[in-house]
Amino acid sequence: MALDVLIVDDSAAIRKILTRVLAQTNLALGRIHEANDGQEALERMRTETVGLVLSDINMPNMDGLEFLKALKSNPAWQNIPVMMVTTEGSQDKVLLALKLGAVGYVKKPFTPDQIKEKLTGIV
Amino acid sequence: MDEAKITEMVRAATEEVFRTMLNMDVEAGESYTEHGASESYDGLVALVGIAGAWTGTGSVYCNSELAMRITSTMFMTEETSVNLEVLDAMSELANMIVGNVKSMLETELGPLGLSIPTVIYGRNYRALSGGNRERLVVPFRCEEQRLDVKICLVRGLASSAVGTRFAGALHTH
Repeated sequence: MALDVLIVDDSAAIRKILTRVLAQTNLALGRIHEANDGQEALERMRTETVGLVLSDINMPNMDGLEFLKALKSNPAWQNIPVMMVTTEGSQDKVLLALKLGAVGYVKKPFTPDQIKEKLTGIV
Repeated sequence: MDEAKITEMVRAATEEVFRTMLNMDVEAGESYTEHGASESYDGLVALVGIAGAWTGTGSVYCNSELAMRITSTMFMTEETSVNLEVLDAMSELANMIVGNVKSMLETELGPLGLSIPTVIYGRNYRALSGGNRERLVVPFRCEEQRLDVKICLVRGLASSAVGTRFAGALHTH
């Protein structure tokens, strides 16, 4: 069954690039949804059936770590894989994201192959 | 902090972003320091604030022709004007370059944070960030055009003060 994907990033450029990269994979992915920040992402989660999340960390309103915490604390969403895609290089934040339940981490800038490779291990 | 070290960080980050995200080459020139307002520019500047024990700004300057080429490569489109996509692409470009410089700086300066990028497009403008403090300018050539990456860092300045300076820092004439 095809998984719908939610891309959470305050940069429309990154959302557009990730959408293109996802379309080029051979993975069984369905519709792509987008959110500008964590708050908007939670709203999308309530209205869409999302099977995979790609999220930035540094975003306005609600950052990726707060979003991840909120998502993983909801029993209905806690098994949805979340991969962080971010410029954030702080080991502390990356480790915290993994501790909160993120399944992987890709640092910007990234190549399409890096995203595909990580997702192949997740989806 | 040592200027040569920051120059190396800026070169490494800029080259990596252009190579990885755009498959484009950049050629670094000799870095120099700038005082007061910048020289006059036509085109775009993307500014990202840096905050923490050290505060300041990172900025990326280029003309509209290069900005359109960068955007066309990033989105696989053919941009012919400075539209929202071009502003957004430059914003993300600055975010990645300054973000990667920030990650390298953190190994020596401790935790730092970044602001959301601001992009400005105009003609014949000069910019002033960080007051009269020195800024390190690392020039690059890309697609036969010029691209400047500037870093201004000050120890222990409250981030709100930098924000205030930012607000009144751009002059057009």
